Amino acid sequence: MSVRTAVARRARRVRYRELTARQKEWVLGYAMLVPAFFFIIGLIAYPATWAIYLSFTDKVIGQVEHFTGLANLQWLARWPDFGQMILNTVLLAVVGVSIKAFVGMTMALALNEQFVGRTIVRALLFLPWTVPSFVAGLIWRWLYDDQNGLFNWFLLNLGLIDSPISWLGDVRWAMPAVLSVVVWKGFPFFGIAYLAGMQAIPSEQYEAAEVDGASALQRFRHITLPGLRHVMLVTVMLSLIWTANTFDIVFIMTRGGPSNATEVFTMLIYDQGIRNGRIGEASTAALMAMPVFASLIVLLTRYLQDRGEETS
Amino acid sequence: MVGELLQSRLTRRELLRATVLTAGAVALAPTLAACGVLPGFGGSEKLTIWTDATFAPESDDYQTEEIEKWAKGKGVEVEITRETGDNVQQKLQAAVESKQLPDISQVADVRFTLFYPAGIYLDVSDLYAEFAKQWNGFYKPGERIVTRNGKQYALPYSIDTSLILYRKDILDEGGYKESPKTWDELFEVAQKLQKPPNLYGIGFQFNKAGTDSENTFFCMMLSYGASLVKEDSKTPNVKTPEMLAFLNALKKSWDMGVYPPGVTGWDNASNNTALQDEKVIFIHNPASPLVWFRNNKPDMLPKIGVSAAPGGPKGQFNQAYVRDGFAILNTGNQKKIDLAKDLMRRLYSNEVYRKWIQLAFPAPAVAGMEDHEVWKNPQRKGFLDAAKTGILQGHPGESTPAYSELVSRTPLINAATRMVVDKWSPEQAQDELAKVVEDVMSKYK
Repeated sequence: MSVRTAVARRARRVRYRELTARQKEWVLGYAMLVPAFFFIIGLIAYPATWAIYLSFTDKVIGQVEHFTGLANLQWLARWPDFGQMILNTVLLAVVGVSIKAFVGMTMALALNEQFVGRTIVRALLFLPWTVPSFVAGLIWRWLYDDQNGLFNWFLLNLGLIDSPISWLGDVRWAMPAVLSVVVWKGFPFFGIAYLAGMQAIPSEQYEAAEVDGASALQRFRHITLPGLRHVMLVTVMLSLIWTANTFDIVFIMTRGGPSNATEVFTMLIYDQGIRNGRIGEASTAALMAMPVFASLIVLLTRYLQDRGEETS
Repeated sequence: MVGELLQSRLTRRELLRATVLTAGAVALAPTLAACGVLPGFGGSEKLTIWTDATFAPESDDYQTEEIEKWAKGKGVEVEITRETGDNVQQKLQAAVESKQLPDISQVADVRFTLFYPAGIYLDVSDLYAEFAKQWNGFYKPGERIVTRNGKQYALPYSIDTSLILYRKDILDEGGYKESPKTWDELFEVAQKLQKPPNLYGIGFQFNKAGTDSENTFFCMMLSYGASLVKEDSKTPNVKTPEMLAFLNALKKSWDMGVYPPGVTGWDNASNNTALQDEKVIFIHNPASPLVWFRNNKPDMLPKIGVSAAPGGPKGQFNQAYVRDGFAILNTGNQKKIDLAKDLMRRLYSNEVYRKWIQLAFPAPAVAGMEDHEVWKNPQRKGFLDAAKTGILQGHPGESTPAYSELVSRTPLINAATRMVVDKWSPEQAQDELAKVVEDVMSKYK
């Protein structure tokens, strides 16, 4: 170490010692942010930026990419099922989340009451949330199977149908079948969140309303719903993003069929990125929905920040 | 230097810095060695082998045992992973980009074609020539797949194909001594012998999850004189009368009611299940149902017939493909490359290769095993015949990355489902098919 460097370091050390307590706290605060900063740069910012860059290239696995501008977007627009794919994704997300929210609310309302066996019922209702998506897809594919599925066996034995229904091969049934699994897998998330929200509402509000003669429906409308407003917003937004990105359930159950009845854009990403190694095109397809999701996330973050400020 | 250090008095700061640097170096070294930054660090000569899990687990287990025996004999550590073909392909993708290649990877023809442009495969022409001499040459389909500019970059091990598997007992009862020779005849026989809703004629999937039928419709399309691309492997060839004739024939077969109604939702397991559960008479598939019958319903096995795909007005075609093949990867480690070549010699030895063929169901990739007793079984003989004469994906052109991408979009299944699910006319289906082929081929010009 040269003498000059040692002197310079000592000078810096002296300067730090001269800082006020508040300034030292400020330095310490930023120092503690360093690991998180590297985490965000390494695991979020870098991959995201790289994906955005790749979406403007012709990157194929194992080959050097070339900048191709908007060529991938043009390719995407030419995709025969593009419109149907968007429609199916929106349908899956909007209808799926709506039903999940409704069933989750029903579940939370039921579990918020005292009854015998509540703990067991609560555990059973949370079970679907713990099942991995691909396992759920396989189980439900078997249930819906046209040859050996449980649903057809049940309906045939009850004499309700004469021949098996092709649940996953009929355009009228395929999307509802996929939706049912998405809802089954996702409603406990809403139920858990709503239940936690309900338990945070002061019981005095319900007692006062009851004294004033409010009916159960009125109590739900004027106390429970407003009390859950924030939770509902967060769960719906998060679930919209997750459901729009559904892949494994669709892949296992229908692979987008019959024809393109359940084709969602994650299937395209898989086919181009994983099966064909065309990472540039896959990145474009993956980033297609990013502006929508990013807007949702910005809105959600801003809302949560505002709420935090209100609370404090 | 060391003496000076020992004599000098370390300050607390210097001691701390030295400790941190030492700890950091110790923590980082294995990572750098794993990433190849510190070659030779770590020193282990572990041979990494990525293999596919097939529908004949006995043959997989036998191969693993033989590799382990070889490793023990050589004093080499081996790491064998056996997963589904899709998983191996995904792992290889990541390996190619991160430059962390295994030493040996099993390659089916699509995987070989997909990764060949990345330059990861070692030129194994020397081994190829050695095994060709040992086994009286390789069959043409395998040779064409692995040969690029006169050199071989992988070693074909087995050739598989889809054949018509049918209920021989039902055909016998109906007075048919052999499987139908043309597609028209197949549809007529199926219609005549079926007893819906318990027994349907044909179990072809009309759904993109059932990729087996892309192969089926490909054979049928070629037999009508149609093809997706011309011989140059680049020029789209969809808007032809032959293609329309094929689509019309396919639509007509649907209208004959020979398929179970659920085929529009079937995957690659559904047609097997239908035959295994005795719900259909004909399917077009590799040998997996035969393995299932052997293990689960042995009394049914003799009742299953095996025949080549039917023909059409312009000939008869079976699609062959390399199911098992081995590529030695360009890792730059000559010692491991030499070990990998030695292992290949073991797997291609008379003793190991013959036993493996007996346990696995496809045909070998080499010509010198036609004296094997397994071919006395007519069910297995069909697969050997198809291996010798089968055409490749991409016919009448070559199997190219462009064609692989095209097939991944299941263009023929999509055309079929457009007609039977979306009720499009054959002309409309043909128009969309032409657009898809043009779209893919235009990217590879």
